Amino acid sequence: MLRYFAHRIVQTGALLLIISVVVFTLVTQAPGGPSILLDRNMGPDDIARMRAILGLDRPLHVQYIRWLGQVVRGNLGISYQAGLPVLEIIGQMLPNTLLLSAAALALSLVVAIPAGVLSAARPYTALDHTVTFLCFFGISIPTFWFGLMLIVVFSIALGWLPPGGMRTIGGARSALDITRHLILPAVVLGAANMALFARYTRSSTMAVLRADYVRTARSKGLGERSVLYRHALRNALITIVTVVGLQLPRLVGGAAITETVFAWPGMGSLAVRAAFERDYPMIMGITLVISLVVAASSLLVDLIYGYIDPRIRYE
Amino acid sequence: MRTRALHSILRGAVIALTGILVATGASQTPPALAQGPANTFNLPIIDNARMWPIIGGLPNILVNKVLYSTLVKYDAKTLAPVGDLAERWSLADDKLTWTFNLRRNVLWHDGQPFTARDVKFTIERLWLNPQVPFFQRANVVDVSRVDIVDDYTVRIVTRVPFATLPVMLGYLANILPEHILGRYTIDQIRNPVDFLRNPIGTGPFRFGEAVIGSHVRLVAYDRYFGGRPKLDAIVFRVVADIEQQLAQFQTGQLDLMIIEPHQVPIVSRIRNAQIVDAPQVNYTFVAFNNKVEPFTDRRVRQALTHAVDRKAILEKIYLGKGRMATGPINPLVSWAYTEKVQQFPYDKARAQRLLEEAGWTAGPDGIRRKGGQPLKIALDVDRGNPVREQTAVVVRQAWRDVGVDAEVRISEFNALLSRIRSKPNPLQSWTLWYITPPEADILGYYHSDGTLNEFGYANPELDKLLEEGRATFDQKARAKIYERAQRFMAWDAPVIFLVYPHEIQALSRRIQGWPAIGYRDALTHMVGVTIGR
Repeated sequence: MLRYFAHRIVQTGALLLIISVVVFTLVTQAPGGPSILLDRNMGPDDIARMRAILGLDRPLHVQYIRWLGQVVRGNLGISYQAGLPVLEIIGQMLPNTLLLSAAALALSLVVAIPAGVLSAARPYTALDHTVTFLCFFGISIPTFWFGLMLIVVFSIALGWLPPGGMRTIGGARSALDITRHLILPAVVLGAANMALFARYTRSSTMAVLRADYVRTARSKGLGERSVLYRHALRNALITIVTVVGLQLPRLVGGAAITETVFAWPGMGSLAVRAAFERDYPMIMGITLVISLVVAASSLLVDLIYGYIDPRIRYE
Repeated sequence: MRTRALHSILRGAVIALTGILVATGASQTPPALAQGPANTFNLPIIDNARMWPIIGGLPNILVNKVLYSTLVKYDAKTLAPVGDLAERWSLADDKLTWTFNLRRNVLWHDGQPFTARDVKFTIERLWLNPQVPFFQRANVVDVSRVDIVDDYTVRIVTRVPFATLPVMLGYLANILPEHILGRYTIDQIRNPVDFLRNPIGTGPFRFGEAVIGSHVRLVAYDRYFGGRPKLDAIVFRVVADIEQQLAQFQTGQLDLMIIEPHQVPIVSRIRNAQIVDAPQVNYTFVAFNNKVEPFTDRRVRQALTHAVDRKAILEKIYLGKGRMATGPINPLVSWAYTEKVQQFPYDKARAQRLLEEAGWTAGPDGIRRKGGQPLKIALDVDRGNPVREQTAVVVRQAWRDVGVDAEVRISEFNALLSRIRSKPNPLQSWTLWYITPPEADILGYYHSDGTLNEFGYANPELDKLLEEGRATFDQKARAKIYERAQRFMAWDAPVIFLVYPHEIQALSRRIQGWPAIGYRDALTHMVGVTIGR
């Protein structure tokens, strides 16, 4: 087990290094440059001076090594745009994204798993067809369009929920206020996952329901509920956990479109703006954090496999 | 049994969600959703603002307009320079030494008095310091030093006669506190992280809170030298997406947003919204790279200008929200502007004749050629702005109609600007815009040594006029010089001057006292703005 962990950590370290080199190269070599260098009122001398101050006049490998040196010391640099430490900004945005993504994930699981199991238990019935139709609808619908439609209905027409932001600015901070702001983006973000999870739950549960041990369970007189949830679903969960695990990076990476459409202050919208503004330190910081989470979530999924299926061993 | 259980789970989820919706929505009356405190003015910014007026960027500029002050600002009606931190100013006989008398009742937001030391520090240690990347240095580069006469008087000495100094001191030139920043090292000045967590200015609104990705909240400064603002607060909401801005405007979370012409009909239908056509000192243009063929030939530039139906562009693309441009000086600079210049009406026949005269004759495929080379022009435009994208398409077609093999290339704004500024500039032609100080001094943009001359334009005759204009102090004499400059430029056609577009503002009807000028300048007149019911 320990050896397995050590192996994974070394693997993760190497992966992060490769990712950082690739992203650093791509970002700094992309056409254009940091917005703060492109102010219309700055002349060539001012731009050259600014480039020197930011260290952008040095060779690429020197710039990278300098950045890496900072990172090793726990400093991700200063955002060109906000003028504040990248780590501090990510620290402020990450909880917002986690809140939104966790709400969306919870919502999608709560709806998708029962719907998927139900579909599997009664395949090719009207109920199954309805769930399947809704799943395809959920997967196919463009996020930004769905978001805008919800805003039009629930914010503009009905006036029930705020169209964007995370809280009422200047108002008292309350869980209720945040919940009101959270509902629409969580529904939009959850919709696609909901459909995906329901489909996987359905197919894996159906496969398990055909297995011999399920027949055995039924033949020894177990109730259908017990067969479905204690035997079939538990085994079907391996697939679902894998799919959910693959979605985990979004917990940290944020959903750029949803966050932008709803002006949710999270990692996704932060990444989009950083890319537009060519805020190199911010882009690199976000990349690093997301890569770390991808690696960690992959490890987490492996551990959950072992918990769900005791036959799995770590070597 | 089991189906019933699953049904009850689903039903429970639906009921819970509906319950939350009803519970949270029940107290709300559409369309005015939670707006926060009533006496707050809300407007959008597309990104986090860095409240450090040394660095540019629209979000920073907007927030800094109300947080800080300048020595001079612009009158809300005439845009003429009037005192802000400076009460009055005068020029010595040597035409180099300006004396600025400062207001005596100004307090920084931390209660410390504003003095001449702050002015000297800001200009010498920040603006003119080569180690500090001040984004407006080009405007003040002719200042050589600042002498403190007493606590409330400074002398600003320029290297050369610099008639436009007061105007330039009002253009994005915020004064910063010496008592805080004076002890900063150069590294701290470059990255003033602590200062940004609690920025101190002298503007009518002081720093309240900044939540990254969400908003900046500035609150009324009770001891503002111009009297306490009537508003309690201004909130700059970070809203990058234009549709989200519109939704927030419709639901009352935003009181102002800038819209494009095609959005006017939509906003006009919104209850409690008014459209404000705000002229501002700007112009849009189709630029030529004057250093490369075929644009080195004036006849080609004139022909390409005649080929474009600018009136149609103004009416169909800008929906009439603006005025046809005749040159780089905006009509708002009324003392200098003249429309008595060579006009370039849409005239396809004349355009073709001029091209013939320049040696570009039509080939069998309709494309003009000279020395075997086809007349091929790539017109670059930035992605995402519908007005500029449509303009580019119309111009391409107009040029094709006179035998030019024209194509439009769309790229991201940063990439486009970066290419324009490459040495040498690899582009042939592009369409963009300029927003300038309310001044006739266009030396930076069109002088052969101008730091902002992106057009590669160089003409000794115009250079001389622009130098004269900058060094002449009598306004009538200056007006004559700039009249000649405008006539010369119109005839020489270094770029196609398209439109002086209005800034179209969607403004909540509850806002009163908002000056109908570009919102950057309007923000310097927030003291009198109120919110009605």
